[in-house]
Amino acid sequence: MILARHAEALYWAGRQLERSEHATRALDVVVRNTMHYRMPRALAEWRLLLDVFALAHRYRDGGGSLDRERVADFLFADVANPGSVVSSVRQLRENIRAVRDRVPVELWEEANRLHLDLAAADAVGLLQEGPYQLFSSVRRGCQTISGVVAEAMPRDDGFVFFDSGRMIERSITTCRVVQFGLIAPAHHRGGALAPDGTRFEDAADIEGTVFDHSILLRLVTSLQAYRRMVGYDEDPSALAAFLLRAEPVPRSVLSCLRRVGGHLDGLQAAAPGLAPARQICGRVRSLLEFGDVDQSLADDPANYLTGIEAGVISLSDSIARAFNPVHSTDLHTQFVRPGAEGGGQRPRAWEGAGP
Amino acid sequence: MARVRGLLDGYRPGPWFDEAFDSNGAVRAAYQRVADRFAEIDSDELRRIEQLVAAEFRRQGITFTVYSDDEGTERTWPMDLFPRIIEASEWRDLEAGLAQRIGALNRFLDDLYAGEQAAINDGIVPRWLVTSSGGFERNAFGIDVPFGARCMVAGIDIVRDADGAYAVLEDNLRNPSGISYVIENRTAMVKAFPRLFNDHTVRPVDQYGQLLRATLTDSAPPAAGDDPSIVILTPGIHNSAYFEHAFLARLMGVELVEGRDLIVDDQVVYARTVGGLSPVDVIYRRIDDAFLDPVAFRPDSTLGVSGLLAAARAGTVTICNAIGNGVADDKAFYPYVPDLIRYYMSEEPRLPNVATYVMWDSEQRAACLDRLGELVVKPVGESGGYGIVIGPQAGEGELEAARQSIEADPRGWIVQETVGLSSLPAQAGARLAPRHLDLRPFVLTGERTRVFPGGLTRVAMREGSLIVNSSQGGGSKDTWVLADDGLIAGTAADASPAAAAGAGLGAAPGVTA
Repeated sequence: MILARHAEALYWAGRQLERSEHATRALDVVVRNTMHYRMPRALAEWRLLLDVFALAHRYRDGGGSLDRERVADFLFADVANPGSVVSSVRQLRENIRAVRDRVPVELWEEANRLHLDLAAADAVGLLQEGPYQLFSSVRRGCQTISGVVAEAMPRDDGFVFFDSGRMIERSITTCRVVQFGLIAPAHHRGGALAPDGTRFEDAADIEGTVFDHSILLRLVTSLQAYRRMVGYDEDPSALAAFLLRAEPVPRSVLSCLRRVGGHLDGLQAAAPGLAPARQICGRVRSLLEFGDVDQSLADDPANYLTGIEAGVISLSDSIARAFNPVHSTDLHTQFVRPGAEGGGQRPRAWEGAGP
Repeated sequence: MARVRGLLDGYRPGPWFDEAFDSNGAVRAAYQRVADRFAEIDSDELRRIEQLVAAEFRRQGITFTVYSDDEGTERTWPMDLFPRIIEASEWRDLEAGLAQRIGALNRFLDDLYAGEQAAINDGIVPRWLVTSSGGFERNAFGIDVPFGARCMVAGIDIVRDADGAYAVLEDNLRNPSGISYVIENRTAMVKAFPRLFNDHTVRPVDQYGQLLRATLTDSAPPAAGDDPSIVILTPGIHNSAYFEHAFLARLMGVELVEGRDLIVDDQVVYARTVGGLSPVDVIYRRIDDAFLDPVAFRPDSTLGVSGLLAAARAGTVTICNAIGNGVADDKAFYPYVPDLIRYYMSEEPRLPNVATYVMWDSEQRAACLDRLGELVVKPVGESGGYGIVIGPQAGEGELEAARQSIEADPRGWIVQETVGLSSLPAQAGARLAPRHLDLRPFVLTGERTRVFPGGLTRVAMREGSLIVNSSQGGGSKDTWVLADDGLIAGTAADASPAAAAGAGLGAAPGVTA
């Protein structure tokens, strides 16, 4: 059975890989899209990115007014922002380094290469002058890592935690795209833009923006799938239901939770500590699988979405509890060093991703 | 830099022994093909290959950490492209000498901590010297080690004097590192100069993982059965040798753990896994004694495992290398090793020491202080090249400071004759120039002693420098041990590696003792 510390490093590496790739994609989409819009509309999309990655608070606290270049810099290149792409890649590399003895050599080498390339690049300058090449090289780096994982990583306990991390990160982001892209603008029209209450006083006129479905779908790489499976249905409920429960779509919340559930089922016998996580995963899954999603979205969409996202986050917490196993009650308390639990200097979490 | 052809033109070996060129400047036979190959390329090509190798090392994260202040800096491993070659017959002598030396040192250590202390009682080594050593560890008493193999992995530093004779400079019996770089240097050389390997039968270095794992398996407590649970204990990713720890764990397919991953309950060591506690039988630790167990050693250590020593004493877990080995690689102990070989092995030492004087002997001390400018002064407790004063290169102030240190603490210093250290061509600007080097072969001991072919060649990259440590700017070289008749002549190869390696673990290295 995998060491708890290794499981934790791999779980976070999975989340950081997903975050790095997804944030880069999302930035790419918004950079391209906002070329065609005038200010308030464009700013709303940048604001949406901050919400999707749960970084609006941190951005505002950094004293930033809402501004295209500053948001792009903050989300991509800011080393002080633990949720930026550069930071995520650095943490990904550190976490893989901590398990480099047990993962395929190429996985470490590719993570290391991505980090070194990014650290050597003038990201801030490139963001202004020619971000597409930068985005595309990060995306390719992430995809190479995914490829190595898919083709070279044994389907052992380590893979289970890595992939679960990815799927949980992915499902949280999808939830948030639905919540902040579709539901919050409609729900809070005329009020505070974001349910978390973060307001940008100088950007009140972006409140209530209705986003094109196409951009929301592109944010989660599902535009093509939607066109093929659903077509041009502009009903927000149809889009929300699609992103939440469309089974063949790898970014739908249900697809992600199915994968996590499968992993947890496989570990059930060897790791009884994961039983609560398995139960939570099953509960959220059944809401999407057997519940009346359309009706719930019609009745109280904000509440429903918050509930799903909270479920995924408590699933994440529950898995994290297995990283600090407590055995035979307080048998070992005499030997456990205070502060040693879950310690380490490596930052593992980013703001907003947890509870 | 301008393009230079004939990288070895004008190569002038110094007054010391050069491994590749004789005193007349002619290439030695073993190096002929290598010299020919380097004569074919120019400085641009050499630089290109060098950059390729460095970029590869960097991408693969083949690094070591240099500590400066509190911050560690990850540096890419430095390798010089001109290889070192050791001929088969030469290696056989070295191998026998190393096995003999480690055999005697292991006998001494086991006799000291688990036996009757015969060597001390018979006056071969003074008792006060042993008990005053920083590496002497009372906690080691009562911990038995299978086969008495207290030093399971040893690294012995070897030099060649002006006549080319090999001598031991230093024993490393605690946590010698460098084997990972031996293997990675070879991998890089095969990529950089594939044709050279077609021209020579070089003994492979890729069986180290298998050998080490077999040795660790041998050392498990009997109750662990045939498939013991083995872990490598590392201080963590910020340690200078973390790359090596991870490398060895991957090579052997065992877990790499930190102290916080282990817990001791009722004198049994467990790893904390997601599935619960999982027992551990063998710990190949890469942490110094002092940090191993806060209950027994330094209470402020956060790297170790509380109760680990109690578990080892109860015989439920084997700690490799054993505790307390530092007593025998204390530099003050080194002058006694030849006598220990005679005592325990009833043989003459096959590998001599470098002439060494002990400073607690007033006659030797007086004689040395008179001519300190010709000698090398070493603190007994340091490693990594720190604190060494090389007389011929030191200023008067430095020598005076050394003199005072010796007078103040004679037990703390040894003085050695200056050994020129042999040289080899190494990259120096656009050309190759002689640079000094040493050799650290690795010796594994379980049920038997095995000397791994070759070892880590470290090279001083500055002209005239005798300090080869990588932490002090030294480089490294791929080290070839040739199988018999190592140069493949124009005719068919008559020495396949398999034939040369003989029986044992596949193409395992030679076995002695």
